[in-house]
Amino acid sequence: MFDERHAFAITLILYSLSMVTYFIFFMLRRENYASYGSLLVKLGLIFHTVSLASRTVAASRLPLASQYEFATTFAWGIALSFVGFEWKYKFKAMGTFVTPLLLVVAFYAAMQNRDIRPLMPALQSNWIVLHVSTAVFSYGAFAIACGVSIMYLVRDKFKADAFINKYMPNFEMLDIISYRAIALGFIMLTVVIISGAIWAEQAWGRYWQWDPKETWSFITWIIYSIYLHVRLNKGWKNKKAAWFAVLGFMAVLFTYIGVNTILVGYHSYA
Amino acid sequence: MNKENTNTINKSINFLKSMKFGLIFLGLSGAISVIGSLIPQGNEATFYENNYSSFWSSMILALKFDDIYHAWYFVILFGALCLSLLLCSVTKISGIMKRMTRIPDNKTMVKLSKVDQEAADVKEIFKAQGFNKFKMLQKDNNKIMYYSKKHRLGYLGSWFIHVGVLLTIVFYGYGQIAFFSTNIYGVPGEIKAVQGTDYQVDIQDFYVDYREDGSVEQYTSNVELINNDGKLVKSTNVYVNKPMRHDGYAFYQTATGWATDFKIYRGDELIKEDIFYESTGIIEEREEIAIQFTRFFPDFRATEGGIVSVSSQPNNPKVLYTIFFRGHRVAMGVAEIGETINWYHYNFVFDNPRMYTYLHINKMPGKIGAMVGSLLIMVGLFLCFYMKPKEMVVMMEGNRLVIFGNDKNRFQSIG
Repeated sequence: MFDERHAFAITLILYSLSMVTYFIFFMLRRENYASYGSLLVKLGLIFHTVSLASRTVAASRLPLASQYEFATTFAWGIALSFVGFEWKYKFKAMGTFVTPLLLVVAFYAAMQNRDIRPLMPALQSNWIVLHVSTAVFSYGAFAIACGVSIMYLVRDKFKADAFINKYMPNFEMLDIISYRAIALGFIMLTVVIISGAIWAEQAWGRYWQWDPKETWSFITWIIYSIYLHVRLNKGWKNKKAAWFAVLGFMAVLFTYIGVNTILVGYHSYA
Repeated sequence: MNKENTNTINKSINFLKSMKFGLIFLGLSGAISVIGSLIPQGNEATFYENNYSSFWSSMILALKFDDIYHAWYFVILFGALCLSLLLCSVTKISGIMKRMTRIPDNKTMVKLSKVDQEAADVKEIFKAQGFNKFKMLQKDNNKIMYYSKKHRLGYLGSWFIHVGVLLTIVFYGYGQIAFFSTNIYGVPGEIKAVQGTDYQVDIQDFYVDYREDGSVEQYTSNVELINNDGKLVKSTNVYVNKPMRHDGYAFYQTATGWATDFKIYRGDELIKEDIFYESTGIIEEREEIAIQFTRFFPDFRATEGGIVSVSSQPNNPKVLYTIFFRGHRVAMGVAEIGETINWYHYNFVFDNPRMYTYLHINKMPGKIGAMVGSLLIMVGLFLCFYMKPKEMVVMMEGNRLVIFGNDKNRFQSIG
């Protein structure tokens, strides 16, 4: 019987194929492959949505409680954001830079335990929906900013390349998309931290206790707040801002994957 | 105070309130936090000596990396950050208020377009850009100027964020200093004094809800809070994520375990009777004997790999105990519930096993202040990114209307 696991497996295949086609488009300069890549991501997103919906029904709750659930929802958030940004800005090369990030998160999800487990008492709170869903949007927005910033750096490296100039938006556009994505991600990250603090106070008795996940969220918040300060007040834009966006996303990845795999804390389930 | 001193003070204040200073300290606090996240915090010195080389363990202990978030340099760092935020907020507010209330100056604005006066209606020009109202001003050179402003609150965005961060840090710091914390544990029917407070907790009931798969759905303590006069103050269920709150204190359902009734006899004489909690010991000093309740097995089973509990339900409850005499461990065994254990002329018995509740109690002043600070940060972020101030000026120059805006990207094309 077709279930969540099958839908997720098909999703992984479609996302992988889309990355391959986007790479063929970019490396072999075959324009029609970008359209195939875009179509494959959209199909993948449909199966991904089916997978998440099936799990929601099976678990009788939103899939936001385990490592697998957060990772797959995070990947879904990146895919959805990508489809939205691609639809709005209509530049084909974006997929070449975003689908690898999407695959990293999707395959990280695939490596996690996928059993549906009921919520432990500490997770039985209405705050879980706000806290985790804003984390998904925040991380997704930062992933988009990172992908677009890498595009900026690639375009900067190959300024004279006619293909790149044709299929990538101009520097100003790339810079502004990255900035807007970071601004959105930063607001969401602030909501994540504040809602997490309120929830922690209810569950553990302290709203801030320097748990590694809290600490790395704080470090990520600092990195992006420095980015926003220097950008808005000192006019830091373009290449420097692009490098900053990539660095910020490294911190996001460490907050999400590194903290869970290397460090020990209260967030061992997330 | 001479002029040189005044200049030095002004320069110092300017540096302290500068963005550069604030960002340096913010970055440093982030760097220290990285160290704190990588080195386990709050352990005994022996932990670091056993897990790190002698060089690194001595470095960790000497530099206070074992408790980095309470180290003097971390506190000073946040103090400096607060000072920077305070100076920045205080000195900027008057400028922000002026920007909010001032009449826009077309000389500092971007020229957007020129249109013929006869072909254009000023009201329509403003309306097309989202301004429903505008004002008219006759300038000194008799020129007529129309102007309007939108989203003036946006000027306060950055200020709200800075004040919010300042409040959050200050109230968090205050909460850390004034923090009160204690614990109580007990079985239903016990009344426990909350040390350091004027309250007692009457544990009416405690139960664990299990799901069909054996996992725990919830731990619930039904408690009554009693003051020093013996008066009932509050009666409620406390469970995970739903603490009981009263008078600034919060009572959290934190843990649980097993306890039994316990009696110990010398011959036929009862020498001690108490509730015995798992992982604790009962010492009878006059007798020089101590019994340790080492572990409780609700569903005991002996396997080749050792003794285990196959479920959380008390289907076959047994107690692993240890006997100490004059400070030395002399015996260890597994007792059935109600079984009398004999050791020389001592007899003891474990009976009536039931789960106990463990409540953590704390009082952390400043929560409201930190909450207000967080709210200000959120409002500030919204104002900063989504309520950007928009100013428009229309000037009459000859028979043409010249249109100015404060940011060309925020205006639709005109003319």
